[in-house]
Amino acid sequence: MSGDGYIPPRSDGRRYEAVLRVSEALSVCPEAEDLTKILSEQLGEFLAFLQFYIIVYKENSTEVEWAVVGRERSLVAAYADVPVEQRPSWQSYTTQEPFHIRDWSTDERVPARLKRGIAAQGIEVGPLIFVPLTTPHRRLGALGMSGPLGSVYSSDDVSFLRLIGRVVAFAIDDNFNLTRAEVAQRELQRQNERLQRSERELHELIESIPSMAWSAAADGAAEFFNRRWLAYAGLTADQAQGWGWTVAVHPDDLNALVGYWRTLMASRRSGEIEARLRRFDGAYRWFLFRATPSLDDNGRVVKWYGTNTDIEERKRAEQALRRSEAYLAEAQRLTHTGSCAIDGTSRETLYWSEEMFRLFGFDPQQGLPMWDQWLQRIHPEDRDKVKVAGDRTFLKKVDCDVEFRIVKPDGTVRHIHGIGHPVLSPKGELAQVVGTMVDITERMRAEEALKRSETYLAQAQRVANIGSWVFDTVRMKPVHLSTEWYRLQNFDPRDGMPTWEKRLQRIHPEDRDRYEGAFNRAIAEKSDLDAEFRILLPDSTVRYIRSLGHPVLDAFGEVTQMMGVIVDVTESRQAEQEHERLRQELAHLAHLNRVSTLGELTASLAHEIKQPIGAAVTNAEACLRFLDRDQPDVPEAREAALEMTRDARRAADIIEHVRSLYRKGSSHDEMVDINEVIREMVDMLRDEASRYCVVMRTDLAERLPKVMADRVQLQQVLMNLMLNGIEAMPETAGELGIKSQLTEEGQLLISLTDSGVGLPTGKADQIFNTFFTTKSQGTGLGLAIVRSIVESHGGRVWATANSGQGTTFQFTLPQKRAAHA
Amino acid sequence: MSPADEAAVFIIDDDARMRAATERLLKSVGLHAEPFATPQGFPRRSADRNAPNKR
Repeated sequence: MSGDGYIPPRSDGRRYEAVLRVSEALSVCPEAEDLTKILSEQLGEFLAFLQFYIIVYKENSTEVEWAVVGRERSLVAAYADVPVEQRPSWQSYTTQEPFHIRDWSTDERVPARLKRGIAAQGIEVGPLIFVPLTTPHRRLGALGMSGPLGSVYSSDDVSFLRLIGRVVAFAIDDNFNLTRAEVAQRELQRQNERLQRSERELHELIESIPSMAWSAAADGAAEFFNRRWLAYAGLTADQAQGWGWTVAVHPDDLNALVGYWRTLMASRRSGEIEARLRRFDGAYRWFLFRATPSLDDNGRVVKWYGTNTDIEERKRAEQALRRSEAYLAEAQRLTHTGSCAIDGTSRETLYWSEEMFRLFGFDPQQGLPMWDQWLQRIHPEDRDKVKVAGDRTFLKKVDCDVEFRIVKPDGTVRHIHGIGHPVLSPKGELAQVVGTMVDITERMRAEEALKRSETYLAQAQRVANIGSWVFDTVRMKPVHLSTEWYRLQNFDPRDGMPTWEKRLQRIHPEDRDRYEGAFNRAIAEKSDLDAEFRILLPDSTVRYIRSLGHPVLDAFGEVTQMMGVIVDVTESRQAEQEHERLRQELAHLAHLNRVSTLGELTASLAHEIKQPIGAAVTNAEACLRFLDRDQPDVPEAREAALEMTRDARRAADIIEHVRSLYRKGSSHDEMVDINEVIREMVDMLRDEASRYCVVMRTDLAERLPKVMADRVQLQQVLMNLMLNGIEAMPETAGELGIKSQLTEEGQLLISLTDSGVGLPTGKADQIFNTFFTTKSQGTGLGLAIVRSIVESHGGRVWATANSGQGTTFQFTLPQKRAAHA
Repeated sequence: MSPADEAAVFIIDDDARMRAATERLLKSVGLHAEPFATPQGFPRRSADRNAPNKR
């Protein structure tokens, strides 16, 4: 190179010194900033310049490896559009010669683009000069300088600059070599540090993340598990290594997990799967297994990284949600309730529950029906009603409540109760209308049936004079009173349910305390109520009411309500009173009958009484004579005295029997031996029978059970029937047979058979009627009283004609008297 | 003395107790009595007593 031998003239010692200073300054391998500063200081003393440039190209390349631009104002932008090959620095670099432009604007070597670029910068640039940056071993680039307008670079200036360029080239070359090595070393060190730090951070991260982490080799064999993973599974790192970790996977999930893991490895893609992992204590929890491959530049798997995230709570929540949804769907199915959501603007159906599809007969596979399709399902007569209600909800944003009918595809008509509710956005706009549709067909049928039933019940209560009531015993107020209750108590339902006090006022004053006491006692004793009372109606009418109640207990066994009925028993009470009056009249008549009969029997009874008395007197006389003997015969006297007492007792018995028949008293039931009564009456009427030359024979069954009966009334029955038989045989010297026996049905059957005149012809069915008689002196009461008494004992009496002569009267007596008897 | 040779008082009364009392009274004065409930029984007994082949 022509400039290589340039040495600054000694006469110009200051430039020489400048070269040395530059060389010395650059020997310490300055940074680019230092280089700029040094050159600016050392060159500025000798050369005028706007900027200077140091351009270093990569070897065998037009690419700039390194560039330094001195001073602040830059002309670099002017070079932006100039190809490298046309740049002055490149010319000097490639030719290894100075590239000196004295006037850039006119010099043809200056590319037009550069000229335009310099002009565009508006900088007044004079000469340009570039000298090569070259060492004996290497071409680096070029050192350049642009001078201000009007300045000129002389050949000495060019030589001086070439010398500076040589010094700079050496410095840059050394610096480059040194810098590259240092940079490489530093970069390697930094990479190592980063790698170590990254590994440390990764390790810390892996150990600190709440998830369980692991890594595996490219073949899938596990290499690493973080502490959390090992602690959870209760495994050591050695145990979990390779495929040892699979022992902690739930047996039911293992095949699917391993299969998926192999699929991932084959595909070299990330993936995740859920499986249960056994905890150290044996409990299994659901985990999300997530794996990601680390690939090299060739797409080969270097390593697998993965995490296991505990999703047990999420799974449970999902299961709970699924159960909840299933329950909801089931509840909707059972209650025939569908739910839906409709867009507030477009009225497009957003959601229908399964039950909605069922209710309206749509196929879920066909998707959600449109609003108009849904309207078509509605019964034509109800469609307008539903549209009006729907429009009102959509337009006025108010709730909708409407009942209507639908016609399903198979023609079935169902009743639906629809409820819609507007859902508003934060701005108050209608976002959706959510609603429910309930099939109320069965409910309506039940309601109609209930109404019918209530009507029937009310009618039944009306017919039976029964009113029902339910009373809150805590608040002492009624909670239910039937229509018939109001009618019976003569309250007006329109006035509301009467208070307890009003009810009491309606009760007859004489019965009020008794009823209230019975009611309160039933509550206190938790017992049933059965009370009868009179009510005094506003028109002074008195009615008899029977109130029956039953306590209703709460969970604690306390009485909270009494529920029951009232029955108007006025007619029954009046009938009973009438019955009692008739009974008393009958008793009176029966007494008269007995007195009258006994009057007729006076002679016979007197004889009957006289006989034992006479016997007693005779025995007394015999007794005395036995005692008055010289040698008193005490045994005979004693026997006579005993017989005497027996005779006296017999006389007393007859008198007592007669007296009891005379007695006018109330009915008195006791256990009675019917055979004993028969014997008594036979004894009492023996003399009367003798007067008629009638023989009485008895045939009494042994061990007959006693019956509950009024002894006197049974005596009267037997007396009347026996006298009736005796009197039927006035001239025949007949026989009266009296027989007792037990029927197969367990009843006592007493038969009286005579050989008399028999039943009156054509009037046999009237003989038990009151005042019917065939006797000239008869009252017509005897047999009528017999029937009344027998029937009042629950028995039956009848008469049949004998096959030969006479009549047989029979009556039965039940062993147990019926309640109504 | 056999009953056939003894004097007897015959009693006819349909009342058993009165019959027994009368018999007892006759006995107390040393008389032998034979009671009958019906008159029909008395002739049969009387005939029996008077029959020659009684013994």
